[in-house]
Amino acid sequence: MTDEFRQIVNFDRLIHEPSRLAIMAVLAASEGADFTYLLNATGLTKGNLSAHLSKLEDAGYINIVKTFKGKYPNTMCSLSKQGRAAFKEYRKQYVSLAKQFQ
Amino acid sequence: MVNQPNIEEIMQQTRSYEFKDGLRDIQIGILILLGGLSTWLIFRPDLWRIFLTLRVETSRWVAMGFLILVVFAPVLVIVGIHFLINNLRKRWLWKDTGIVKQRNVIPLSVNLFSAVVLLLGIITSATLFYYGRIDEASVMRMILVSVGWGTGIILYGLGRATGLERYLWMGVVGGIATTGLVFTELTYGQTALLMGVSWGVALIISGALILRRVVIASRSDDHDG
Repeated sequence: MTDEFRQIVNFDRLIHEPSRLAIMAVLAASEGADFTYLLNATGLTKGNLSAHLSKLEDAGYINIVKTFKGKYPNTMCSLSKQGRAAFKEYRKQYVSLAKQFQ
Repeated sequence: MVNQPNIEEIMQQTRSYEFKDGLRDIQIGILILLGGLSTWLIFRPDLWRIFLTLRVETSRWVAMGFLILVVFAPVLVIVGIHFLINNLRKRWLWKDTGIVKQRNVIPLSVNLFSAVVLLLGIITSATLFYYGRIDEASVMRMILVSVGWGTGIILYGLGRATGLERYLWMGVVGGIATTGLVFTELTYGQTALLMGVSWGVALIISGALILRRVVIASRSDDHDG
C-alpha cells in the first residue's frame, strides 16, 4: 500500500464528509456557534444539520447545549477537546496529502 | 465527485464575523481614545491640583476615588459598551444570522512579535538615554511610538486572520504614521493624546461606516422580506 493511499484510508471519515467538515471548520474557528449560524454557514436544511450534529455529538466531537432565548429555543454547539484534536489531526493529514499531489 | 468545502475560507469567515458589523472597531477606538485622554490627564498639573484640593477639603477616600475614576473610566465605559454590543447583536444585528462565540483571533506569534517590538522600543530608548543621546521626553515619545508599532502589528495580524482589508491598511498606515511622533517636540502626555485621538478616531470612523452599511443592508432585507 502506498503512503498516499494509506493516508487516504486513515482519514477520519466522520469529519471528511463535506457537511460535517464545514460544521467542524466553523466550530474550530470559534468557541461555539448557534444553530442559526451553522445553518447559514453550511447552507444545509434544518433536518440535515440536526442529523449531522447528532452524529458529531455521538462521536464525542461536539458539545450541544440547548437553552431558551426569551421564548425561543437556542442550540449552542462547540467543539469538545476530543473534537478539536481530531480536527487538528484531519487538517494535518489533509495538508500533507495535498502537498504530495501538487 | 463530491467537492470538499474550503476549510480555510469557512474558518476565516467565522473569525471575521465578530468584526463585520463594525461595532468592535468602535469599541476598540473608544478604548484607545479614552486611554490617550487618561494618560494626557494624568500628566496634567490640573488633575493633581484637583486631587490635592479634594484631599485637603474633603477626605483621602474622595480624592482617591476621583483618581481611580479618571484612570478606570475607560475600562468602565468599555465594559458598558461591551454589554450594549451584546444586546444589540442578540436583539437585532445577529437575530437572523446567528451567534458566534469568538475565539482568540490574533495568532500568538503576532502578539509575541508585537510585544517584542514594544520591548525593543523601551530598551533602545533607555540605552540611548543612558549614553546621553536623547532627553527624557524623547525616551517617552519613543516608547509611545513602539506602542503605536505594536498596535499596527496587531491590527495587521487581525486583518490577515479575518481577511478584512481595512485592518491591514490601518495597521500599516497607522504604524508608519506613528513613527513621525519621534520627530516632534511634544510632551509625553501630548504624544499619548495625539496617538489616542488618531488611532481612536480612525477606528471609530471605520466602524461607524461599516455599521451604517450593515444597518442599511439589514433594513433593505426587512423591506424585501
